[in-house]
Amino acid sequence: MLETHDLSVELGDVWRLQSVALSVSPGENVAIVGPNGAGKSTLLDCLSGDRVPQVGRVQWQGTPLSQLSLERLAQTRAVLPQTTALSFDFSVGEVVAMGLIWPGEARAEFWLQRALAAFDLVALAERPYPTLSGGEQQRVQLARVWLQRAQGAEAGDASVTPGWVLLDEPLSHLDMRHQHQCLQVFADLAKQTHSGVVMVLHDLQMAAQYADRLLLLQQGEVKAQGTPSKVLQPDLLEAVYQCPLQVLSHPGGWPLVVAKAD
Amino acid sequence: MRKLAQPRWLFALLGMVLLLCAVWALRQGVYPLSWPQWAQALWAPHDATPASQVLWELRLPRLLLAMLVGAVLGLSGAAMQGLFRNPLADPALIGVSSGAALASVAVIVLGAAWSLEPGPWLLPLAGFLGGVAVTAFIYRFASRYGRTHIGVMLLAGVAINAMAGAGLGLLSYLASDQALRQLTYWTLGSLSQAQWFQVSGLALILIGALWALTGQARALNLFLMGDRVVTHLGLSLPRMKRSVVVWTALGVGAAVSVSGVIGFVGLVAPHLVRLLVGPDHRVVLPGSALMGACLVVVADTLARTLAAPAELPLGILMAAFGGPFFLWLLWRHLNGQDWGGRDA
Repeated sequence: MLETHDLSVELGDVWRLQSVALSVSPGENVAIVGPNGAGKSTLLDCLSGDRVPQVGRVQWQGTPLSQLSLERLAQTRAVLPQTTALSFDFSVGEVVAMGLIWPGEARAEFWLQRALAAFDLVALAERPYPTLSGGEQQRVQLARVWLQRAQGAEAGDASVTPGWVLLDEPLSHLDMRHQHQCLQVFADLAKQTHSGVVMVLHDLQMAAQYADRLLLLQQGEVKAQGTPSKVLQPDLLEAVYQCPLQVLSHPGGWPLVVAKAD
Repeated sequence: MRKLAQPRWLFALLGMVLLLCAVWALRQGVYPLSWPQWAQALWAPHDATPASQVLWELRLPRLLLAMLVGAVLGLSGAAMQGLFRNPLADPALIGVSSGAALASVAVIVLGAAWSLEPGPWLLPLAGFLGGVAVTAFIYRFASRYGRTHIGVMLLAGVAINAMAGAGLGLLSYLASDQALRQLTYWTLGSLSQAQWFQVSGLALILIGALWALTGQARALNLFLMGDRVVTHLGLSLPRMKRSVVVWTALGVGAAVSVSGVIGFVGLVAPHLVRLLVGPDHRVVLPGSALMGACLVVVADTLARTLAAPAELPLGILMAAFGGPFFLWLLWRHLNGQDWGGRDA
């Protein structure tokens, strides 16, 4: 269980996060939503251990992240940064393989092939990464992150080591098919490896379809937290996003947020 | 697009080339040696024959020093390009070598002026400190928010080179005649004063640098994707940066202290390796050391034989070939072809 109470972060004289409380259970899928500059990425930085908050602390199974070694953290949590720049000519296979925590381990090759297949990258494996399109590059990074958690979760005796996965805007540049594929693959990973998944999403419809729980942030404060149908209320969203909108019902049964036509 | 699919072919190929270059270099020279004489002298290091003395006191230490200088410069160039996330970083281009040269020359000139006899360790130490100072300065100067600006870095290097040039000019004004000769030797680069103790000293530094830097190869790979990716995969970012700054400065400083400034090896060697096997630092770092050794052995043998019995300064020869190579790199870049890396 990943949890934090009363988390506050000050950055350049501004409180970017104020008294945020969040707990993520194994296998649970949480989406952080909110307008630009709401503090979503800052929250993710705290949950990854990259940033130490001024107030409060983040705990994994009761231990503060700052007390876990870098190696232990790498085995337990995987992180997709919002942007990744890579200008050297690594092949797709090499970039994905960088997600291996134990590159020489017996099942490393098996996991690498699984990662490539899960994100439709088998045919691209030999291509130089810088020549790929934006969406293809994003899939390579997603596969790298998936691979890290998948290998890290394998404890040897067919049991799994639980952990968590942090995805900062995993859907950027992806086409519709790969957007759904991506969130489905990570939802499956969450169940199989008992990992909590926390992702920053802008697409409220995707969040409603795939997340078990939403956390709505505005200017560093939690405005609402709960199931998609509880959080996605038209009045609340209009106030937070300052945009006229409507909440419809998707045929699949989850709320569908659309902008209101004038 | 990559010429060699397996890294071990690169090592086999470069090892073979280096061996051939070594035999060729030991054969070439003003003093003619027939094959039997040569082979006999090679097995008799302590003979009083001229053949044995030429081989063991002149050609062999010089050959080994050329290999070591080339290996250290190639390795340092590859590591520095990783640290700057840019394939155009080169210890000489961004001023690290001239910083090291300035510090070493200051020790020679001021030491002579104050009638101090600098010990053999003092020059490498001065070179090291000069190299560290410049590397740390350039790195901090050109980096903002975890990104390194290539333009700023190269221009800062131009400024450092100019300042070091001014310092060297000033010192040459102050220098005695004998110190002046030494000074020219430093700024143009040469291996003509190769000594056995330099070989053993530089070999120790090469072993240390190879061990320390290849240990950071995975961190350097991850670092190319961003600072945090290193930490996310469980490796220490400060340790990697410290290791690269210290060992490249130590290596370049020591290389400069025995051979003067030899440019472009650190740029050309890693680039050729990346063309052959791709950018993985686990291969590029040792491969660049081997490639650098080959390049400097060939260049130095040409330097001492092209105008025999006179000698061309090695630094001039490297610049004469390296300059056009660098222009070719820029040309390929402008035309949008792959070059083992694009602007960060």
